[in-house]
Amino acid sequence: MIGSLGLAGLLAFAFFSALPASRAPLSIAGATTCEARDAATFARAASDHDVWQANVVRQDLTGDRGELTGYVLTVGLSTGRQLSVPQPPESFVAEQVGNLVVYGHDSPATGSEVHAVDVRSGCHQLIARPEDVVRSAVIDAGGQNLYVHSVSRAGRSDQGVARHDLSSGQVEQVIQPIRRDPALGRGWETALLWNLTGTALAVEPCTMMACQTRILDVASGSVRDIRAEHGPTIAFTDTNLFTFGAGDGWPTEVLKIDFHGSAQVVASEVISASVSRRTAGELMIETISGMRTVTP
Amino acid sequence: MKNIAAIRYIIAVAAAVACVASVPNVSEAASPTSNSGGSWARNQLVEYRWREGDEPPSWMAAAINHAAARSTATREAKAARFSYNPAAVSWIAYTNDMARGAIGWTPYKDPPNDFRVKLRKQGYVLDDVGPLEWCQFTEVPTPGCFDAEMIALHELGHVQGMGHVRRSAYPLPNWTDSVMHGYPPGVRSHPREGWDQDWFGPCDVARLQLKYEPLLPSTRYSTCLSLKTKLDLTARPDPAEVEGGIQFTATLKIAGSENTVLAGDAIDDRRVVLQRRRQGGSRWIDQVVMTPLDDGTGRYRAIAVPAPNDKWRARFRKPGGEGLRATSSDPYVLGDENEDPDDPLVDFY
Repeated sequence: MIGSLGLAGLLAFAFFSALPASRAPLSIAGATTCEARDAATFARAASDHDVWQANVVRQDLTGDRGELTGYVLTVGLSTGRQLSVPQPPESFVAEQVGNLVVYGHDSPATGSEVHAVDVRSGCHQLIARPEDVVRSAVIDAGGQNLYVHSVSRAGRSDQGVARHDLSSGQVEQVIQPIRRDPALGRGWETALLWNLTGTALAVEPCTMMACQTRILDVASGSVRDIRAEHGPTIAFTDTNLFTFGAGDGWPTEVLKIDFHGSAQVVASEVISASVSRRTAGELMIETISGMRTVTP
Repeated sequence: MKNIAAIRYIIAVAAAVACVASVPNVSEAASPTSNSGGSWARNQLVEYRWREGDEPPSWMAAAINHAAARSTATREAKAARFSYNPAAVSWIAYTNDMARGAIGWTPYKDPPNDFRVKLRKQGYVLDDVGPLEWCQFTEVPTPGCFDAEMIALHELGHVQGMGHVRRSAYPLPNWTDSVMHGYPPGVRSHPREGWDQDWFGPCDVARLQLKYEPLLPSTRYSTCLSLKTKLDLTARPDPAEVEGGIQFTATLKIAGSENTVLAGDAIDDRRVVLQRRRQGGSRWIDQVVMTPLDDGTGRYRAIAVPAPNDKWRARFRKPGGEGLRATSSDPYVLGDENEDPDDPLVDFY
């Protein structure tokens, strides 16, 4: 369904109450299913202020010849127990929002499913079942909407981002597929990223050379493309992106790019960088010559 | 020699301003970028191990080791040599922990100390591609698979200091002129041309030669280069005392250049001819192919018996299959009127 939405840009509807039973339920240990709760009620944990910061680990599972056969996702719960979920190779886990950790997968047995676990209560629940192949999904800070990025089942073409209203079940295309820049090659991995205030969502496919970024202002629904060559985004604010440099290998640069596409180098010879939610989004940048921090 | 006692030879002085070596557009655009980091020592042996917990399976380990050997064998420059050693500081990991959009990644290199390289696991799912397929995983490569040897060689190219071939460098003369493609169509998969290329292409070699110098003075310069050369010609009485014979010595080098690494480098084992122009003549005529000394000095020698007022010069023609330009020495003049008391040939007779 979302595939056709991606092409037509129309609205469609799905109701979680009508979600069919999982065709091949995942084996989930350590958490409790919360069958009696609807997705919207369940997802309110994303807006909790009293947050249990979970330890989320995804470990590769490999076969005899080193091939990836899947993952084991473990989420430390406030109950002292641990959610342990086997995942197929086509799967993801999103960054924790409030007390909610969203994860999902696609497999021939189950199709695409998006689940979430309330790390405080230990409950987990199926919250969406996209028709296309889900690549990633994030929930908003209010726990009202789930944003799903998917590719088509036939041909794996980008289907953009759909917003699943967890109360009504309405599914709406909010970001159209990003037309691949032929100069950048294949889009290999797409990220969904919230800005530091949770008011804007970026979808960002990356090739081996560079990333393309499209930003949705959640309140207005407006979408803008960032027209500057850059690598993966580390974090972004209401006015700027902080990204790795594009193209020429590593060590690389960290760039500050405003929404009009003007870029400046913030740090050079960068080995890694991350954003600290605990310090208001301060960037921690590891360079050849040592650590440094940048305040967005 | 007495017969030509009145003859005086003057060694013409080389052009006052050294020529500037020229690099064609391709190699200029593809030259190492600002973030290419420092350089390894000349011919430095850089050993690597597998990162603990992320050891590659045997088929991937073999591919990486093959790429390391091929890097050494095909670099044609004094670039680093790579070799596996379980006690090494540098490491290579078989892992999915890497930047988005990559199947191979060189997150760190700190010449002359160490480097780190990562290669993704077989089966990792990519947006447009689906599960990543390494060609070495199956006995027969499947369409769309990526050759681990080629990708590992590409990553080792990064370790050497090469960035991706940039858009501005296109079109390369040939697709297989580099394994450092970044921009489209980017990494080549089976069965695209060059999908299993396990050698540095000539434009990779060009960059390595610009950065590290050719492996030996006799090493051919990449066809992706077009470097100016310089010939000097000197003469002295023939040590074998052939009647009237003069021993000419030509020295072939890379001209003074923007590329300070190569400027002045001796060029051995090429074809340099000694030419003569008769007095009043308008054409330079090949007399003899000079013998390369191949001693690392770029010198070539020939014996000739000059006639009065002849002019002599050494000539290096543009060789096929190599990125060097033609050059000639300044004429060596017989019977010049401007006697130079310091000229070593003054006392020949």
